[in-house]
Amino acid sequence: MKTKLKEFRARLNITQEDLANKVGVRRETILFIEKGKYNPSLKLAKKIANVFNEKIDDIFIFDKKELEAE
Amino acid sequence: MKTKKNNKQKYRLMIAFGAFFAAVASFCSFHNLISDAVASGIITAATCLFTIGIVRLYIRKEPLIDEMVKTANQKAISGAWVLTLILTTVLFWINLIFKDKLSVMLVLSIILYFMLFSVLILRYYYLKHGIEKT
Repeated sequence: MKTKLKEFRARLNITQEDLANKVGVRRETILFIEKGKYNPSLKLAKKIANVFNEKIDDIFIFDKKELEAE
Repeated sequence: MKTKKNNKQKYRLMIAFGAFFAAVASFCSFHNLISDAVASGIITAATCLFTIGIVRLYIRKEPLIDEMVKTANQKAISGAWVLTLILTTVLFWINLIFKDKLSVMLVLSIILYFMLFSVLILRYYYLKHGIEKT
């Protein structure tokens, strides 16, 4: 799964810490999501999408091959 | 929002319990009601609780446990369980080959400490390197 979280954050000028506080997680969790080292739950993905007023699909991009492989 | 409020309450409770237990242990130690070793243990634990509460409530205003920490904990526990199962099998064969050379206390201690440390190590690993597949 790829993420555009960093781009959206930069666009709205939100720090990782601000975003973490808004969605109720640790800053490190946001860092790992941006690096692609942690796949957030649907609930967290929705919360993040709500912060940016976007759909989950616009922020988190699922690779077709990855989906088929699992 | 509700989670944030719950966390704040939790940290306030941690501070209150930390201060209370430290005060009680100091009082009991001062009046020789408990031994110094027990008192120092309680005071150390209470001070840790108090400090964590203060840091989380006023300095690092973010949750101590979030979904990533929970996932890391779950994965660490299941990983440690599998490793302990392998260790138990190894110990079983050692005991079988060397004809009951291992005492029950020794085996229990090995298993207990191995599981404890492997959980901590795996948890640290997952929190440091991330959990790619969830």
